[in-house]
Amino acid sequence: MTWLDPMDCPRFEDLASEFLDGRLDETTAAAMRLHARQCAACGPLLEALHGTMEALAALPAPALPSGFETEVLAHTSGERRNAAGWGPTLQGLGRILWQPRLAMGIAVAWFGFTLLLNVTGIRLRRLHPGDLAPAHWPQIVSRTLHRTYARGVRFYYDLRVVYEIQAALHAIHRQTQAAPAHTPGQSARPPYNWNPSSRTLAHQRHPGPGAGLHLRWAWMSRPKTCSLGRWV
Amino acid sequence: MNAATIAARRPLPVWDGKAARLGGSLATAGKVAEKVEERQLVQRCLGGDARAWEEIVRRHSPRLYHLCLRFTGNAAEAEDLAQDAMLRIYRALASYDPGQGALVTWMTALTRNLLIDHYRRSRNQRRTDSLDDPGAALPIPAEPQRRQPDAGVWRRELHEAVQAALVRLSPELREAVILRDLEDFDYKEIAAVLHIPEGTVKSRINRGRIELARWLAPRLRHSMGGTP
Ligand SMILES: [Zn+2]
Repeated sequence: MTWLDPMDCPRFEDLASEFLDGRLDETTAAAMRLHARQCAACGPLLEALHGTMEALAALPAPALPSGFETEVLAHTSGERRNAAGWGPTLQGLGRILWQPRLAMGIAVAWFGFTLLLNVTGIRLRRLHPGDLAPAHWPQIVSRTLHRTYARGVRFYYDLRVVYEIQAALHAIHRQTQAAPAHTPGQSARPPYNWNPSSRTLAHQRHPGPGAGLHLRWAWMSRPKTCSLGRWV
Repeated sequence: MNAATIAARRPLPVWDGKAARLGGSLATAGKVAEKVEERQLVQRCLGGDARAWEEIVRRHSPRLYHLCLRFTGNAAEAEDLAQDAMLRIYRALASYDPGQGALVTWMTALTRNLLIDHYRRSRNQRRTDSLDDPGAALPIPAEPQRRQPDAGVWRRELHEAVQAALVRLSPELREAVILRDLEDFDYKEIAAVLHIPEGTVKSRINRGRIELARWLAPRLRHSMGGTP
């Protein structure tokens, strides 16, 4: 350190990096420059430090290993979505509801609900917002009661007509059967035939509403050798 | 050859260019906008926006991986550490306070803690060479090769030598030099990452660079002396 060079070597070394980083005031920086030119130790030191910084800065920034980001996202994104989003929660709920027992329970409950709606005469498709007002409930109930009463009356009259027809038929039947002689076994039989096999025969004799079913069953159960023989 | 002749032959460019690059000349407005954008990104991420998190991963993974790679000098270890760091960042994101500093500072601090933990764990498992150990073999060939290698080979060897020298630094000096010269953090940011006073940052950067310069000087002199 001279009057021309106010910098000493230890101080130069301490300040070298800050000097290279441009952090020193101009006076100190000028003193550093002067010392570097005149000192045989500090000049090369500064040179080497500068070279080192350049070599460090020249180190290549390597590319991320392939799949790095995918791996990170695979381990993270799901957690955050679960914590904040509704989607996965609903999915989980759906998975629980899809279990057979619960699904069956829900189906039964829905069936009961629709049955109730049906009985009370509420039609969801024709439901108006006004219908939900409590003031309208007596009106709906009374309308439903009237409709049910009318149906009941109609059903009763229908029954009466059927009964009268049946009674008339029985009377005719009795008149036609009065002529032939009765065997003792036959007379011991009850008036109604409860034997299922003979009932089937009766159906075959007098084709009624159930006869079609019997015929269809008969067609399905008959051997199909003919048609098979034709195709094979 | 004295310093005066060096200066005459090859004037130190750092006195102008380097100072300008590192002197905090980055537009302040740009930095503020970046901070606001990052804050929004974090908010979106915390609100469950998966794309915001993807954006954070995409933006910061390369830097954190680079930090891990240069600190450990081992690609496989660096990958594991950087992934671990990203997972920890993800889990701790709610605790990030933008008022305390930039996201990148916070992320780097978290990664740096992992690196130090890793260093301490592995210190007992492998022999660590002390900086003052005179018997420690330097992987840097001091003698310039007679045969002139091509530029690519020469550059690759220099990179390997620099990386080897970095790993030989004590972790305290190493992290300071990496953050300054590779990650381009300023002294204040490094103080925030390392939780140390700025004066300590200055001294660690300087000591680290001087150690590296001593090891690398022969090669660097060689490179200055007219290699491609
Ligand atoms: Zn000196």
